[in-house]
Amino acid sequence: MPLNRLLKSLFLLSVLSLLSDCSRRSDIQPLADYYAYQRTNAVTVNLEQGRKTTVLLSVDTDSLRFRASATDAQGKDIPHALYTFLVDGKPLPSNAFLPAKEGKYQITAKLGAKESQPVVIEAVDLKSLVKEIRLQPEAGNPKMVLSDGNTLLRFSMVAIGFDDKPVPFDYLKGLTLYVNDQPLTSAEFTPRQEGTYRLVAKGFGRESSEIVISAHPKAYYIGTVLLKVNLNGPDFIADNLSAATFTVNVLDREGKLVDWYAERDMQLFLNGQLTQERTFRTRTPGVYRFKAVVAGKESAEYSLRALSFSEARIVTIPIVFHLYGVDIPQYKLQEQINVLNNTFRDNFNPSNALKADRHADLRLQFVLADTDPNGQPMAQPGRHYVDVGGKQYKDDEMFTKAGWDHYWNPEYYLNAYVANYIEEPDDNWAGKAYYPTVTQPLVGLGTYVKGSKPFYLFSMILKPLVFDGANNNTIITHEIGHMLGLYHAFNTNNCTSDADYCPDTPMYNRQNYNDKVYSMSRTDCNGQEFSSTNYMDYYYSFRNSFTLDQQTRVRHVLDYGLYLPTQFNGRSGRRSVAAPGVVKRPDVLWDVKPVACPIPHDHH
Amino acid sequence: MKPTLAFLFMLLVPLFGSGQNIATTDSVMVSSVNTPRSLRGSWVNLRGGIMLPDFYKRSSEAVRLPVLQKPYLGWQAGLSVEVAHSRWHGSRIEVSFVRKGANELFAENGHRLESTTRLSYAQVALLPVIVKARGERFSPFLGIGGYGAYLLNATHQVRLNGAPAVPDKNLPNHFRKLDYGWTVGAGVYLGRRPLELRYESGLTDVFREGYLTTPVRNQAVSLLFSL
Repeated sequence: MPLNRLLKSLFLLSVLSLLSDCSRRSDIQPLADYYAYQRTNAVTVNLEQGRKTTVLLSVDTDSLRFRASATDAQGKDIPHALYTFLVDGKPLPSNAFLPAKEGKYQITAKLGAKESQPVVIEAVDLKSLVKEIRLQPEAGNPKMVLSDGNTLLRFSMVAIGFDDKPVPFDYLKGLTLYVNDQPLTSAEFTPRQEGTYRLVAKGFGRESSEIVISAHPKAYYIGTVLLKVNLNGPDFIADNLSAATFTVNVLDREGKLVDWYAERDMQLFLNGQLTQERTFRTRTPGVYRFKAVVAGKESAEYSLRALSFSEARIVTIPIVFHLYGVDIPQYKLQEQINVLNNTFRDNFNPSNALKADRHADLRLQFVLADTDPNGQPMAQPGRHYVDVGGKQYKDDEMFTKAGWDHYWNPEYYLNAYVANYIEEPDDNWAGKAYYPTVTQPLVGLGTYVKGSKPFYLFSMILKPLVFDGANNNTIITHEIGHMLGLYHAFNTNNCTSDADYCPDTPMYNRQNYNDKVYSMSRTDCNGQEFSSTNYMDYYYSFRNSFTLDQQTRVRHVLDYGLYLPTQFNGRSGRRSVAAPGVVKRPDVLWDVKPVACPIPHDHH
Repeated sequence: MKPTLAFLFMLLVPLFGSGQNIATTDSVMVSSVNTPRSLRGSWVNLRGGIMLPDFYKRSSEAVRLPVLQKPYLGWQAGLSVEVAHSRWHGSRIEVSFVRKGANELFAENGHRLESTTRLSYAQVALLPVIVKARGERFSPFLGIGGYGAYLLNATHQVRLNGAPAVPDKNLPNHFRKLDYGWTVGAGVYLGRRPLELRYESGLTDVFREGYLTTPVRNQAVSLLFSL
């Protein structure tokens, strides 16, 4: 049966064919063939952040790394390992590439059949582009280099091309700064030993010209140490208020100011003893010797004499009385000046009463101004009559308006305005004055910067009665006391705090004082009886004393008060010989209220 | 698909079949006495079998041998009606539930993605040409034909680097509902029940047109038996 045999043979052949005709192709397919990854959007390739597409051969030693991205049909990122990176069409073993030759290279990423747009990398060999290397100091003074490790010198290294401009590449990594043939890791150098250092920048087969520096200890550079002293007042008084502040300047051997911070290195010696303080105050009169030492170099000695208060210079203040239609005779003005010169010198005691325990000489004197604001001699010193035709003024009209018509520069004069004021019911004031403004804080006073023009009429206003009778002759003293920073010596209606900030003026509650008893006696907040002696008190009082604490406040105002004819504001303390005009009213006045003081009661 | 030996053989079988018709007269006359009674007439069999299904790429040059990879095991079950036209020639029609699909491994640069696709079809296979030989203990045969299948269900699972991953949930929507292909088998009749080694190959893509850039098609090797 040949047909049957043939069929059997074909059967066997078929079975063998089914089993053997499957060639062994790889079981593993490329990831990009996975179904979801065949449905991606366009592939993009990017250079890693912070890297530039220009590679400097032999400078950039880190391979460039690329990131490819695409998302599948569901918007998920394709695993990065799926991408194949190609350089000029040839596969890379990874996503890293570092060119070895000059030229342009196209980097693409491929996912399956999809290939990204290329990133073009350009490899540049700077050796062929750099003509010279320039080394220049960038920070620090190469002519004054300290050997103590505190001088940081920074240099700039510039690769110059054949067009004499810096080559337009980030070449710095290819440059190295050498100090005495030793390479540094940066362009900064700090000498730590005395000696000579030769600095050269090298790179791209070129070498800069040499910079030679010499490092020495500080003392090598110091020619002169200057001790500078700043006093806060005309006299240095041993009152713990006068302050001497010390600074130091260092000059080199040529007398030029050395531009490093000498204060840090200054040692200050007081009477041969090292002191850490830079500001000196004392309560002990005497001579104090100061010396500064910087890096072993000494300054000249500075002697400071601390005066006792009795030795302090007497401050003289010129006064002008603006008489608005009030004809006060000259002799009465002089009488008031005489009273002031006794009250502020602690020589006033018409009742021969006991003075305050801590009564004090404020070492202030007053003169009638003999020169007007235009520098012309005044016919009647201190007397400035203004014809107002019998006009009477409301209480504060003088402060806000009329007074500004004749506000003589307060840094040359103490202004007092005398006028007929309209009497209001229950109005018994005799004088009103403003408190001062200071540049250094003092409790109870406002602080402001120096240099501004007056923003309120810093002055006092007076009724004519202050010139009449012995009972009223300390009213101006009282008002000037306000202008020099003194508060009333009583509390208005409580005993909770010291209202005048002066502990040596007994604190008492004004409401508890019955002025009907015509008594000089008060009961202080501790229940102690005392006699009223202070010029800053009200009612029945001996009015014969300022105190030491008041002296301290007045001293502070004289040292730091604005709009006063004091040395702080440029006056010599003597009589003004010329005055630069008047001060105009500003458009907007500050809302500052003066303190009003009543007519004292007769204590005789 | 590359014209492999098997494919060439598949082409030859119909030709051979045609030639068989030409020579029928002599052969039938000579052989009719020895034809087993069980292979005469027509009959119905319950049938089933295990399958090693897989996908192949239209662009690929070879068929993957399923046993060389982690195989996906499929199966089928159904009915067949067989008609003996002569002692040498028969035909068969099969109606089956068929579970095809593939385990596939995609890997690159240390990443490893394993996917399992399960496709359930209602399939009708027609083998119009079954050439039989006479044997003393069993009768070998060769069959060739085609099949058509309707996709009943599709699932797709993914593991990325050994961990379960969330596959594209829309992927099953992109499978083509109808599949068809050719099939060839070789086996023996044990009485009226064929035991057969079958190969079948799809002629249309598993996914809808244009969904993949490298389309895949079904293929399977099956060991089939009848009850």
